[in-house]
Amino acid sequence: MKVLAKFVGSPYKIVGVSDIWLFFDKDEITVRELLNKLEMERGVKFTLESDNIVILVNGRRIEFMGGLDARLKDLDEIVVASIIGGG
Amino acid sequence: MKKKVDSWFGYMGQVLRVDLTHRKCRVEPLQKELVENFIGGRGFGAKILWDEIPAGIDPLSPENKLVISTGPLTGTKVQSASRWVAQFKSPLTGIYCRSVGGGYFGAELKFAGYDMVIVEGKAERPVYVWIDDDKVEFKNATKVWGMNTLAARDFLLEETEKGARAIIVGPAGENLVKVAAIVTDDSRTAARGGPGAVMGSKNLKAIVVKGSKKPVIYNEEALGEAVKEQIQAYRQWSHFKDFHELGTDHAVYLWYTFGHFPPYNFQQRELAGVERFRPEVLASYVVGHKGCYGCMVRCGKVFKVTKGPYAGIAWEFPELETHWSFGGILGNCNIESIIAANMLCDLYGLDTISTGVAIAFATELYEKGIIGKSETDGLELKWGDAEVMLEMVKRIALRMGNMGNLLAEGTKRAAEIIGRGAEKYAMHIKGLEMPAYDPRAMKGQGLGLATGTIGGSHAISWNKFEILGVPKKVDPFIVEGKAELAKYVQDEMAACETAVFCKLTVNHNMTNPNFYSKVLYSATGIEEFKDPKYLWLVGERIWNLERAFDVREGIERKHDTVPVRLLKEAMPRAPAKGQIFELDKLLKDYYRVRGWDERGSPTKKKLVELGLVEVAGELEKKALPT
Repeated sequence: MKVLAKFVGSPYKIVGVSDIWLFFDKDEITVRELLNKLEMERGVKFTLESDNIVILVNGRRIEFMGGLDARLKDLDEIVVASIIGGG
Repeated sequence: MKKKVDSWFGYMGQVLRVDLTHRKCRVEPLQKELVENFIGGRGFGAKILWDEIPAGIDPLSPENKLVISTGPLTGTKVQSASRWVAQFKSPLTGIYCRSVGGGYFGAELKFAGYDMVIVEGKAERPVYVWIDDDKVEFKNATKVWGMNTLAARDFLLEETEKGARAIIVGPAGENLVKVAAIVTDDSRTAARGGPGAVMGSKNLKAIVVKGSKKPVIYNEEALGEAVKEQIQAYRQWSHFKDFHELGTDHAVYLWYTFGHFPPYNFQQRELAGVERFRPEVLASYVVGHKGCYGCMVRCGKVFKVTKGPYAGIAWEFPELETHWSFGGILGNCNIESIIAANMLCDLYGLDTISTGVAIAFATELYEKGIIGKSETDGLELKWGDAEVMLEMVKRIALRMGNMGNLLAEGTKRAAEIIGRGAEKYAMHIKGLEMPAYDPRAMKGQGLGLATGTIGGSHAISWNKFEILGVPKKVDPFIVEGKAELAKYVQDEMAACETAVFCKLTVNHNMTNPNFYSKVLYSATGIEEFKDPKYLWLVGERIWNLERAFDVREGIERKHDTVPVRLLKEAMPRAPAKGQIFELDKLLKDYYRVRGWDERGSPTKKKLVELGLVEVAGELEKKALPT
């Protein structure tokens, strides 16, 4: 399976690219597994503890989908972004 | 002109009443009771409008009043607290309106010695008001009538004083365009609800002000200490750097991802090219930073266009909402054209949100064949056509042609005139064009929009629980508990806009009644203001008074709604795919939480509890329940 990871705002500056496809040898993974892969392969660590970072799966905050245990399927999209308000 | 000065701390103690009909002005002492009950800014204006504007008047008649107010912290060292408020009966919605502006005008008005200006009547010929400390003059504006806001600014400051500050209307306001804005000398706007048209209807081109005083602070040492802590908190604020770097534009792409930034007039088809709104792309246009008086955030950005047909423009700057109103909602991802549209709106004096939404409405009617070229004066209204979009901005501002003149009335009225089912595509709430939020994607935010006292405004009801997850994270799809959250953010913003604090700092929880009470007491020395609970009470009092104004104008349950497509059509894209907006359940909860009756009227019990006894008495004439 593959998942599209997008980096918006400061995560973009940290990772250095706006988006990448990540490939896995499974039909389903958790967000935790994806973040671990990012840490191992890219040396970047994102956590839910950071108050200015939001992690979304197909636009939905993972806190409402089981947190780091939220499931990702083939062709899903994960966004790691600075969370800034509009007005 | 003689003046009377009371011993006030934080306040200047004076109200300037400008009677345009008789070319007279009068300085009135600031009333203690008004201060204690409504604090300042938005509270002052809400009370003045309730007391002085009878129900049913024509908003464009001399009977309407324009209240321009500051707050007890305006012009002090407190950060992000020097904005000013315009309040009036809206020609766009026919109900109460509050519109907030930034820049330096508010602080300068205070330095001239006034907490508030009340403009009434109508001048026989175009005038502007020149306030130079205690000296107030009516000056001939015939020469500047017809000028755009930038040209008028240069002329007015040349004729008065270079360092003066001003609020100005452009051709849109003069032409009584219902979505006309007031624009400051530094291109900030108070735009929502048509305040520019109110000034235009009074033949008032501008108010220019220069002052040399400063508010006296009750406890300078305590205020200095609190501000030091505030500055320290700003520096440690995790969003500070991002906000300074790109302002609200940081959120544009994220909003689309959340299910907001609704493309194609809320049809919510996927927006091809949305990547153009990513922060790093928008940041590539930034060449400078600007800010308001007394704010270290300096969230205003100067965008420069160096290529394409709009090359040469440098302007401050399409914010999140404008990227949507001339971008996403119109299927337009050409950033340069959005910058150009923003500039045109500021020069003509137009609300960017309402103007863009009105054009999107017409574009969908054209797409569906409800209107044709004969009604658009030959223009082919297509999604993503930047040239047509810019042409329509001009036509609306100048009321050119059939469609320009029609959309100048605002989306609601235009739909009523067109008929043929057009209302279904008119994206407004109580006549105010909607902002870049889809109620289907965030239920508490949608409830806030549906119940807004000025119509569909994100500015007075921004659900930070759902959007940012502060003070706590709340699932946006859940309906239960959202009434309490809507009330929370509405009352909190009403309280903080008495200062007048910037809404962005309130939205991010950098400003809240706890912090506000500390600096407010230090600045004013008024005992009641020490208690954050009292500030919450004042916020609720203001919201209820605004609602009472609307009820007196005929607003009831059926007006607290959202456009029908958001109630009937399921959201077509992630993350809210399949969601609709559950209005009935949300509204029932909201009225209960607010202590209002089933028609949406504040009950006598609630009004008395809030100290609004006289309001209860007047609403009783409309069969208020006990």
